[in-house]
Amino acid sequence: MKRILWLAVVIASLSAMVVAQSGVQRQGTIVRMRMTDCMPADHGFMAMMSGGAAAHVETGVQCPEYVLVTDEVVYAISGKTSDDLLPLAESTYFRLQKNEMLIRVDDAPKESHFRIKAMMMRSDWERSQSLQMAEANATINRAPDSETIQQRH
Amino acid sequence: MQLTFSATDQNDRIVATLNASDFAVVDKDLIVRNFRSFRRAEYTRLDVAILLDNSTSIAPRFQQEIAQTLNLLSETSGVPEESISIVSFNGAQPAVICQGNCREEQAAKLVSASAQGAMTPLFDSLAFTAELLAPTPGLQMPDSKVRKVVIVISDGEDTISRRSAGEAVSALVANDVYAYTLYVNKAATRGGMFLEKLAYATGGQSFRLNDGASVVADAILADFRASYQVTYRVPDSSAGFHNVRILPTHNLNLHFRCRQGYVDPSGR
Repeated sequence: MKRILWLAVVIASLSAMVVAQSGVQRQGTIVRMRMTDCMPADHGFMAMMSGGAAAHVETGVQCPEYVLVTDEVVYAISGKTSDDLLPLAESTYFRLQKNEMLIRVDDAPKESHFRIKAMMMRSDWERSQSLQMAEANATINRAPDSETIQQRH
Repeated sequence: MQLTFSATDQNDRIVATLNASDFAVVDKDLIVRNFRSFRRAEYTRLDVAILLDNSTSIAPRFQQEIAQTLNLLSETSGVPEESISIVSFNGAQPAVICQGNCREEQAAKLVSASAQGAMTPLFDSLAFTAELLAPTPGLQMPDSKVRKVVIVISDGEDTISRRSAGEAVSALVANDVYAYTLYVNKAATRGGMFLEKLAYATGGQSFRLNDGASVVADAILADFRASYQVTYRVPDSSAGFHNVRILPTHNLNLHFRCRQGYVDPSGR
């Protein structure tokens, strides 16, 4: 009986993983965008460790990098080429496959593949954002204005 | 924050009808979709300065430059005569050839008579022109009604300026001056790249001398007549330089041109 239960749990978790990998359409909002140096095509852990061509970034060519916020998870993703631009609509629909995020742009025949650079629980991300904002405000409040500086002199 | 920009379609034609939902502003990497206001820019006047490089580095093409400049003057017929200036640079300092009295035939004589020299203080001349176009407080109409444009005819090389390229670009951006550049060489050089970057950073456009004066004049007048202004709350209150860009929300064939950023001196 225990074996059957164990098997059921394994099958259930496997099927959940498969669903997650293959493509449930999800929705999020892009809140940040910037252009950074493109990562090489064969970028990966082993390539980076081996110190080959992939160990350094391609300088000069800029690829877009986005922060996409969903209800539970926040993703930092980057395009593979400079042309991987996303429309900045309120909602972006995507699915996950292996370590990539697949996004279909408008009526494009194929989905664009974006590298997932980082993931964070939304609650943690919001906490870190609040902390950053508080620090920035504190810095502004601490900085003396020009009038104060003149008075000191 | 107020930002003025132009929109073009996939054929590089000005988009005459644009909605606030068609674009988002990226201010210091943060995306802004909710704007305080959005409307067509209400420019009523175009202030033009033509910056001529008549140094020896481009001396063989000098006659072509003069013809080009005068064509531009005659083609910008909607521009009041008093708002056109011509500045040249060939010595240690830039020189104003004419300001507010740049009639076509008179300017032709003045430009022809201006001496050619060996030095190219391009960056200093750009900063000088930015100041020349800056409004005199209390004497001129508000900045939001005036579109300030500098047409730079040069090979993009600088040999003697005290200011850096970055300082020259910053001076134009800070004074809301849009640069339209005319690169005089055929081969691609570092100078040509600088002129392209200059146009991009200020929200203007870059051309080659062979493109013809009418193309440049058309581009300037199209931007004058069909620009948009958007105002929004700055999402990141930190002081310093804020890089900005405008990107489409739906149609990736839309392209937007605006200045590359602004300096928030205090933070809020």
